[in-house]
Amino acid sequence: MVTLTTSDNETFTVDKKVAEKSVLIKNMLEDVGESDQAIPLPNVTASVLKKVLEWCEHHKDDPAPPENEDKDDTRKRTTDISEWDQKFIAVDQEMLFEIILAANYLDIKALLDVGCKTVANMIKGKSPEEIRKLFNIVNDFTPEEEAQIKKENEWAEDR
Amino acid sequence: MTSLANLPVEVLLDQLITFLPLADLAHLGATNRFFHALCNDDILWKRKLIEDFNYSKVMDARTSGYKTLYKGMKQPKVYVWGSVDNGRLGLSSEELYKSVVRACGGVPRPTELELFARKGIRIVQLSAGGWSFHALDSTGTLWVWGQLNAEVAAFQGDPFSHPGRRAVVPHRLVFADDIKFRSISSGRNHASALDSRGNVWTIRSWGRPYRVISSQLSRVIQISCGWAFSAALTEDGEVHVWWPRSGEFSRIAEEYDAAHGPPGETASHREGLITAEAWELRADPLELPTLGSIQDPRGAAATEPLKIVQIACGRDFVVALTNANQVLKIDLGGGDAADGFDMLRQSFRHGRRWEYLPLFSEAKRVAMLPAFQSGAVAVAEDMRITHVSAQFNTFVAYSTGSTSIVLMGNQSTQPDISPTVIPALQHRDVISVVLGDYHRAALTAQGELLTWGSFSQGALGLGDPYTLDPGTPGGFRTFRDRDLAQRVHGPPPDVEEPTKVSFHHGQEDASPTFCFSVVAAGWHVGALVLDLEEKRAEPPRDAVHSSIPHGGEPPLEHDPEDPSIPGSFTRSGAPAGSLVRGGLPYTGSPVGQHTADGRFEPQEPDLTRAMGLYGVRFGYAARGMLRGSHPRGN
Repeated sequence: MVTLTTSDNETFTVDKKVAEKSVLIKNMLEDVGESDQAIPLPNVTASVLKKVLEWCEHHKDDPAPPENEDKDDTRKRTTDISEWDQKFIAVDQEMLFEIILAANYLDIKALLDVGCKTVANMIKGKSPEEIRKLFNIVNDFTPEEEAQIKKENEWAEDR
Repeated sequence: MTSLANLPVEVLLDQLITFLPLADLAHLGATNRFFHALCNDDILWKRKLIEDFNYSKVMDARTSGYKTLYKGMKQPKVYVWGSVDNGRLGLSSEELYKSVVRACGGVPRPTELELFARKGIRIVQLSAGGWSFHALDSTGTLWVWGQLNAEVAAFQGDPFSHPGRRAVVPHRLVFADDIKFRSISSGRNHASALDSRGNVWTIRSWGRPYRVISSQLSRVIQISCGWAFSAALTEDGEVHVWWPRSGEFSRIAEEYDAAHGPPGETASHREGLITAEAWELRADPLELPTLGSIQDPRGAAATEPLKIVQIACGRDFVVALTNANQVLKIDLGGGDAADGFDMLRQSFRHGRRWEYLPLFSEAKRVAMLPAFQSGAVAVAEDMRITHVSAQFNTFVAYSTGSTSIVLMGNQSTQPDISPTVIPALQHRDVISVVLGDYHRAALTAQGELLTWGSFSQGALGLGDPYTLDPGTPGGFRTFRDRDLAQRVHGPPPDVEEPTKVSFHHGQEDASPTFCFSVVAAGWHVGALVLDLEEKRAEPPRDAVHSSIPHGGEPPLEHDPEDPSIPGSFTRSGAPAGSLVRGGLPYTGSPVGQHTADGRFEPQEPDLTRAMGLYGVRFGYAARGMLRGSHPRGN
C-alpha cells in the first residue's frame, strides 16, 4: 500500500498498483524504495485526488501502452472515449480542468487524454463566439483584427 | 477558478490541440489573442506537417513559417534542372521539349515534373543521389528516377534488381506489405530510408531493397547517407554506420542476389511501377564511439545527459550536433575496405574519436573569426548552432533567425581550423545549403533559392545563357562572348555571387513561389515549391497532357484510378475551400519565441504563471529541433 498526502493535508492509502498508474508516483517509489512515509502531492487537492484515484482504480488492470507501436496510430487521432470514462468525466468545467492539471502533474497519460478529448469534443463544431461563451473567454481583438482573422481562417474550413 | 486558458501551454499544445480538426483549431484561434497565438505556434504546425503530410522531422534549419507551409501543402510542385544524363531529371520527352536543352547538355532552368501535380501526388521530401533522385510523397510512398548506380551498365530490358537499370521518368516503388516511409537519404549510389515502424531500409537496387535487421537499430530517429555509407542515429544518441557496397553488408547482399537470380518480369509489370522484392539483411552495423571526454557546457542547467541529437554524413566523415549545440566530427576513412569494420574498431581504440569543433560551436569563438570581425555582419552573443548538413567533402553548420550564420567546413577540418564564411549567406535566414560537384545552392526560410558556382550543364538554374542578357548572373559578360560561346557550345562563366532562382521563367503574371526544400548532387538540382497565391481557375492539366508525347519515351501508364495508389485523387476532385493564400499569417501577440537552439520560450505572463504552477516537466526543453525525442511521442 502507498500513502499519499494532498495539498490540503488529507491522506489517501491505496494499492501500489493503483498509485503506480501515475508515472510520477511510480518513479518516486522507485527512487526511494520501500517506505512507510507518505508521498506529498502539493499540487493536488483531496477532492481532485479522490476523482483521479477513482479513475486509477477502475483502470488498474489496463495493459501498459505498447512502447514500440506503429507511429501511424498516433496520426489518426480519434476523440472516442469509452462509456465508463464518459460517465467519469461528466463533471463541471472546473473539476474537468483540475483533473487535466492533476493528470498532467501526476503523469497519467491515458487520463490526460480522456480529459483533453472531452474538452476537444466540447469545442468541435462551435463558432468562435460559441467557444468564447462556453469557456468564458474574453474577446480582446479589435474589430479589424477579428475580420482579418476570419478571412485568414477561410482556408481551414471544410478541410 | 481554473479555466481553459490556465492549462499549461504544453497541455494545450501537445494534448488538447492535437485532437482538434483544422476548422475547430481555426475557431479556437479566433476567440482571443492568447488562443490566436497558441494556435499559430510553429512547433504545432511543424508537427501537423509531419503527421498530415509526412514532412521530414530533420529537413533543414527552419524554425518558423510552418503554418504557411502547411497551407501551401495542398499541391507542392517538383522542379528539377541540370544535366539530363542517365535520365536523372525524370522529365518526359514532352517536358524536355518544352525546356531548353539544346547546346547546354541539360536543362538550364527549373522545370516542373508535372506527373506528380497531374496525379495529385504531393511530394514532400526529395533526396539527390549521384545520378538519381528519391522522393517521398505525403502517404509515405517512395518514388525514384534516374540511375541509382551509373558505374554499372544495364540494358533497358534488365530488371530493376540491376542497380544500373534506369528509370527515365518517376517510378513508384511498390511493396507487398503496406510500408510507409518517413524519411529518405541518398548516398552516391545507394539510399537508406526509415519507415513508420522505425525500421531501417537500404536500397542497393530499386528492385531489391532490404530491411536491416539488427538489435542495434532500435529506436532510430534519423537516417543519413554519406558518399558510400549509411548512418542511423538512435534516440539515445548512438550512431551506427554501414557500407552497403563493401564489407559484410555487401557480401550478404551479393550472396542474396546470386541465390535469387534475376527476377522474372511479373505479370503485373507496368510502366512507371517497380515491384520491390523486399528482403531482410541480418547484420550488425558498426557503432561509433561514445562522446568520451567531450565537456558538457551546460553544467548544472542540463536536464538530460549530453548526447548527439542530429547527424549529417559526408564522403568519409560524420558531423553531429549535440543537445548542447556543439558540432562534432569523426573521420571514417578506410571504412569502405573489405575489413573496414575491424580497421575502424581498432582505430577507435587507438584514438580516433569524435572531435569537438569549438570554432563551429561557440558564439565567442565564432565572433572572433576574421569574417565576422571586419564589420558587415556580427555574431549574436546567444548564437547557437541548431542544424548541420553535409555532402561529399563539405559540411555546414547553421544558426537560425534574422542574425543567422552559416559556417562551412570540410573533410579535413580539425578543432583548430576556422570555418569558411560566405558573406552573402550570413544574416539571411539560410536554412539549407546543398552542393553538387561544382554548383551550390542555398535556401532561405522565406522561400528564396540562391545558386552559385559553375554552369554545370544548367545546374545553376538561372536560365538559358544564350538568351540571357549579357551581364546578368548565369549569362555571359558581353554579346561578343555570348556569340563566340554559342558557336562552340561553350559554357558561361562561373557565378560568384549567390543569385536568386526564378521558378516562373518569363511568366510575368505568375503567382509568387515559395521554395521549401532543395537537394543537389552531381550536376543536378531538385526543389519542392509552393505557389503562394490563391489558385486561379485553370484548365485541368489532364487536358494539356492527353496528347502522346513527341517521340522518345512511351507515355506513362500510371493508372489514375488505381486504388492501390494511396492518396490518389484527381486535381479537380480536390476538396473545396482549400485555397492557397499568400503572406505570413497575422500572429497577434506572441506566446513566446524560439530561442537560437530551437527551444521555445514563453513570454506571456499568464503562461509563465500557469506553467509555474505545475512546473515544466516536459515540453519546452524538448521543443524545437529536439522534437523527435519528445516524451509524448509524435
